[in-house]
Amino acid sequence: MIEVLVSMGVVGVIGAVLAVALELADRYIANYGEATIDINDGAKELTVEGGGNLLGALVAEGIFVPSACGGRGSCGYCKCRITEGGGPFLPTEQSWITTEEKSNDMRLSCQVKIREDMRIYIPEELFLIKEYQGMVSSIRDLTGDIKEVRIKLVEPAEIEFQTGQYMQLTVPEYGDVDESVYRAYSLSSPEYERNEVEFIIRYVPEGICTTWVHQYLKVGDEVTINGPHGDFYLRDTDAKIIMIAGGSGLAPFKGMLLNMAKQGITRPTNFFFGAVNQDNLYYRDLMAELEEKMPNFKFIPALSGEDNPGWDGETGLITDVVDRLTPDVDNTEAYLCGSPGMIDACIKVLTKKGLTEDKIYYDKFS
Amino acid sequence: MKLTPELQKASDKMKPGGIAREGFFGHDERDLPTLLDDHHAACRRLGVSWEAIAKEMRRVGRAGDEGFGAPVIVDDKWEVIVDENRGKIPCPWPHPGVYQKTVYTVKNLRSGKSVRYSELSIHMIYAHGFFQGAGSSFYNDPAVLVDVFEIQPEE
Amino acid sequence: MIEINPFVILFAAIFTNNILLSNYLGMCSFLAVSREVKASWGLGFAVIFVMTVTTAINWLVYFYILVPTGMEHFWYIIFIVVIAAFVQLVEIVIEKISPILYVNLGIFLPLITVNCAILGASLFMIIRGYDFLQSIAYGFGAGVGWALAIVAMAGIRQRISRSPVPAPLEGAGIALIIAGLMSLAFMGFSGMIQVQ
Repeated sequence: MIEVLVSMGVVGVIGAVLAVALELADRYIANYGEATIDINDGAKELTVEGGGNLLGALVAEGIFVPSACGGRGSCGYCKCRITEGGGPFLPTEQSWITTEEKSNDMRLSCQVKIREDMRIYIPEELFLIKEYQGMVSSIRDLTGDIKEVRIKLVEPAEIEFQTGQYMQLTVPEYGDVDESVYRAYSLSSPEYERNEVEFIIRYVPEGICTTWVHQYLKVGDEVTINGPHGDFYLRDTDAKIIMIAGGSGLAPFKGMLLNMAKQGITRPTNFFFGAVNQDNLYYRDLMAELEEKMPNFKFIPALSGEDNPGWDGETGLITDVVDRLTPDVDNTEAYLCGSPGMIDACIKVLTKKGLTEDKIYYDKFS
Repeated sequence: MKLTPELQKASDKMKPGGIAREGFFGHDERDLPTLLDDHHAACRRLGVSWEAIAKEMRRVGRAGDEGFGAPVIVDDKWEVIVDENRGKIPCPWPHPGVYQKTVYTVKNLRSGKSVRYSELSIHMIYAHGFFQGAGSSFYNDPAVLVDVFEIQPEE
Repeated sequence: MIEINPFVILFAAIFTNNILLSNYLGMCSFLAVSREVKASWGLGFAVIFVMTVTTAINWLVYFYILVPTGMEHFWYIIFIVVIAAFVQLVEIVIEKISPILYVNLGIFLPLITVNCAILGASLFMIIRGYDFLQSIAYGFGAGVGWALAIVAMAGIRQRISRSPVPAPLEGAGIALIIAGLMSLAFMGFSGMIQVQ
């Protein structure tokens, strides 16, 4: 009997000692306490729990540092300058930080762990990016694989942006997807609509966001978006305008054209829209309406596919159509939105005609 | 079987929602090391390296770029359609690099067989010899790829 | 206690009585991690460290706590708990003091916690009646021997990675055959040195 009690006692004591040791280690060694992060020399100061990475902490506090890989060190987008408290330079940061950047204290914020107070420097524009809670007000099918989604803003209820910029949509956990991600979409609504925003979203196979939008999202659902991002917007000049888009690249131009119509802008505008066949065309009625409202605006869809019965519009590759129908490029600005391949090819066509690169603005799908 | 930390990270990212909607395993029950072993062995038996397969996939796929979504005939042997989408995604393996979301559909005009793959799947085949699990959207068996791209065995 | 020079025990643990190739302990992480040479080095060093320290700690626990209280029969469970707690503590400490060391070594610690070679080393030192110094020599030697085996295996697997292995033997099959061949080679050393 006494042996049983002694055994229980010894096992209990050893277990207790180890448990206490682990608890103490967890509390005093693994615990990094709170840390203050000074951003841009005091422009903003955050107090956060230590232990996590800098990118996560900043995003949680509403500072949307860009990232395409979810903080794994694969994309290199989340760079920022850390002059104090960054800790040792890690091998995972090596590939993204050049020697020059390193001497300038540039770090990869997703790899930096918060262990002590820090001083960091981020681009000013990031402060202008806000997060908005909204509610889906309508979902409309534009073609077989493209949907128009309108979101009414709830909190904040108003947004200020330049037509042509894009927002990041937060995709929540759904189905068997158990991690939330962000995906970027151009705003197709004009800037004078400040309480409701619109996106044109095309279904992509294996797409985490587009599958959510096309198969799960319903009117009335709550969504979170952040932005605005990007520097693709109509410049305020009197130059002629060439717009070129393909597929869902039409989005920013819809907003721009609605804006132009509202403001009575009469700059001569040619909008070239490339598609494969008639099933890919949408907003034809809207474009016809705009053509009537703005006599100087022309919508020129071009079909590159071979099978288009009854089509009497332009045919061929978009680059050829632009080439053919643009006699000169005097006092002209070009705006392009679509795949990198299409944009590069169109830039070549335009520069060959004599348009300088500083007059060509684009939003590459990247 | 236990995994090395690197393969464990890659395997976790390959689950549905990690990077792609349905994940890279499809309905295949094999774990990552087994899939890699099986596919590497398949390549050896075909006498072709997985790098060679990936290079052809990229060469023919890129040649279809100029169609901007419309079919392009390449080398009089293949019909290629290239579909571009906004954004870049990372590789499940924990190394630097993000890949454009481009989808290529290539049809061999002689046999009529076609394959569909993405920029990321080209990278995973080239760098890791990973062809994905059966049932995954961009899965292609090495033998099918060798057949469609008419790749000759190396000496 | 038996009278053998600790250095002899150390040498034997690495070559003639290799805990992996002679006693077949620690096989599952051996087979899994030996796919890559770099990971094998990392895991090897982690095993050396953990094996050396846990044999030392377990020796002290056995002779200063279990024996005086007549609880030698609790040795399996106590050793396992000590090993697990130690590994957990080490992980917490390494993560704090050196992120670089953590990335290179710390990520292998979870793979070691239930590695039977670690427990095996602690059990063998008691069975063979080693004293404290001999136990440390044995723990360290067994760790080095295990690391040597896994790095050698990784090198071999890398060499044959593009060779025509028969289909049914792909992966685990050929790895076990290689392990068997390595064991045969090391068996040539057996009996050279008396360790118990």
